[in-house]
Amino acid sequence: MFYREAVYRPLGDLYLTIEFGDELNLLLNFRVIALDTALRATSIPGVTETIPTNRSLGIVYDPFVTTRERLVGQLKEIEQRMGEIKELPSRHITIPIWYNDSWSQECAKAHGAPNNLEYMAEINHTSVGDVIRAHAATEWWVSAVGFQPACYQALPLDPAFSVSAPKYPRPRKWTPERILCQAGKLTSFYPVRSPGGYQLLGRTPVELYDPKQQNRVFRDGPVLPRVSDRHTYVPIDEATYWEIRRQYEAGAYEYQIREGSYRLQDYLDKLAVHKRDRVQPAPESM
Amino acid sequence: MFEVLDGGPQSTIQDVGRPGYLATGMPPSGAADRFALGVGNLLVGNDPGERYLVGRRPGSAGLEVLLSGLKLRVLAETVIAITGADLTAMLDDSPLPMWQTVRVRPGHTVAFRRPRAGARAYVAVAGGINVPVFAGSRATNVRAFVGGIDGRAIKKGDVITTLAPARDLAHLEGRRLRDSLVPSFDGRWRVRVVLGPQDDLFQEKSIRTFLTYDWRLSPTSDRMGCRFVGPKLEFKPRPAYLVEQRAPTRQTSLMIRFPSEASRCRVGSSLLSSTSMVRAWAATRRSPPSSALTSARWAKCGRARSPTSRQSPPTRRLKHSGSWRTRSPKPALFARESMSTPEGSP
Repeated sequence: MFYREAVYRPLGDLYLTIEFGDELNLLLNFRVIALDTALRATSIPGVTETIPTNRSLGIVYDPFVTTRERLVGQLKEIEQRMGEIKELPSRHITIPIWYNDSWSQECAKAHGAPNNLEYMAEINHTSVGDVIRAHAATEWWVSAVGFQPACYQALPLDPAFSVSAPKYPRPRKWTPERILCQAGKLTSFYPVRSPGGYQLLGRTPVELYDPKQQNRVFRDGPVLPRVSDRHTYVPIDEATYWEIRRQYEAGAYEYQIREGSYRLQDYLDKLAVHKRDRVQPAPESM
Repeated sequence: MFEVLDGGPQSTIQDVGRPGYLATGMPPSGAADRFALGVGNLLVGNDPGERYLVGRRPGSAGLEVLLSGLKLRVLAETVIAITGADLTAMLDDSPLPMWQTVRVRPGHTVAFRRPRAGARAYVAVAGGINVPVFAGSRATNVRAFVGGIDGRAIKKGDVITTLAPARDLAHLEGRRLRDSLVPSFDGRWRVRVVLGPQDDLFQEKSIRTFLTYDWRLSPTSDRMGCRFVGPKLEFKPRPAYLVEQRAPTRQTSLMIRFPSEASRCRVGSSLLSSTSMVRAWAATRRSPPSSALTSARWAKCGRARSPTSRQSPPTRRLKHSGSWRTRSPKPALFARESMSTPEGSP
């Protein structure tokens, strides 16, 4: 559901959250980012941080400088003044992935789960190859970064992307670092070894989080993914994985990053086509 | 300067933390009990830092000690102050008085023998601990591998050096916190709560239960969050896509998540955890119930007494969760992208 008006909710005495709706939807995320962009351009006394996420914007404020009431008033004013956004700054990053890699397979096995890609293929009535092709065919929009440094969530920019995955019925105790995963239609990432419950897709040989900031790409901070980035995942094989990993470790890896912007109309157009094509529903298996 | 003879279960170098990076997922970290570390720093003449999360000066770094086991050998004369929980701090064979400055000399051993009340104590050292500053702070985050010594808890063999004290050591002797200001770590804790952001999803009756029941801390708690066990809280009817398909349980584990380690503070995800963003300093000082700790190893503590604490929440969830093969193809949960999908970690 999209709310008719944004809802301002308290989050303890140092935060508040501005919610635009209660579902996962790119259009909600665009609004979150637009408001975040508008706030960054204005300085409101007492606001120390803003945190864009899937459907809401977190605000950190200093209660000794402002009050929640005053702040909400100022935020509402900015929100209502905010014009329609047509384009958002957006980097495009190409990330190589060894889909169905041996670590993912081992990790699933160690937790009593079937091969995650085979499982996803089975419940989506398709093949492993098609799951990988579909995942690599769409661009992904980074809609939230958080939980851990460089842990992100990304939504498909192609509305026709149809592969969906349930979370593990019981979470894993560990997941190797640099594993890409999916639940629902969200792609996410384990920057460091951590517990988790999303289905494992594959592993990238390059770091998206580097606390030692060794590669040039990390000179401004240890975290690469940013909300409003677009990702394309390129399937690679084992040999290429190791070749890139060696390059990375030698400090010679060049990240493929294109600065640019994203026209929201592109997404709306695709969405319209997708909705039109869906008028004739495909035979449903359920 | 100190040599670590035993690191204990988890001793980390902390200051007030590194705010400003939440949008990258980097939590601010910092002492769980900022009052205790702050007082310690003031006693030894250090900068206590600015306010948590909204200030930008992290203050001097000290040691956060969890439960018992930490043992330090003094390598150079200095003045320290132990604050926070009573973990039976010892200087060689005599009890080390807390909330006051103590001069220590080479050869002395500082050890924490047994938690008597509370879970986390602080060692403030004149000058503050000298480790590299990462993103404006020395605070350790073991999950993100940053801060402190190589982004980890301290361990046997580490040498902890300090910065030059702001004042002469002689001037620091005999400073102590007035008794009336020393917090008590015993008994029940009153934790101030701001309801929201999703309190409107709960039944009125459950909100009353939440605010009146004596919640019991479960041992599945850490610097990221504390889990409290108690009666079941009921939701008002919700749209199907917001309901997570999980078998009902008879009790609730209430997660109080600390902004210091949880980088996203649940902005718009799980329902239970976001009922209560609490004043973290009040809650953390408490940590495992002291009564359960007296006999205890960390892994076992909290098991005592109440039948509600016998089964920890994760076990319960495990028991009720589905199995791989019995799931219907295309589970209904994802017929529409559910808000419960991105709950917590991926």
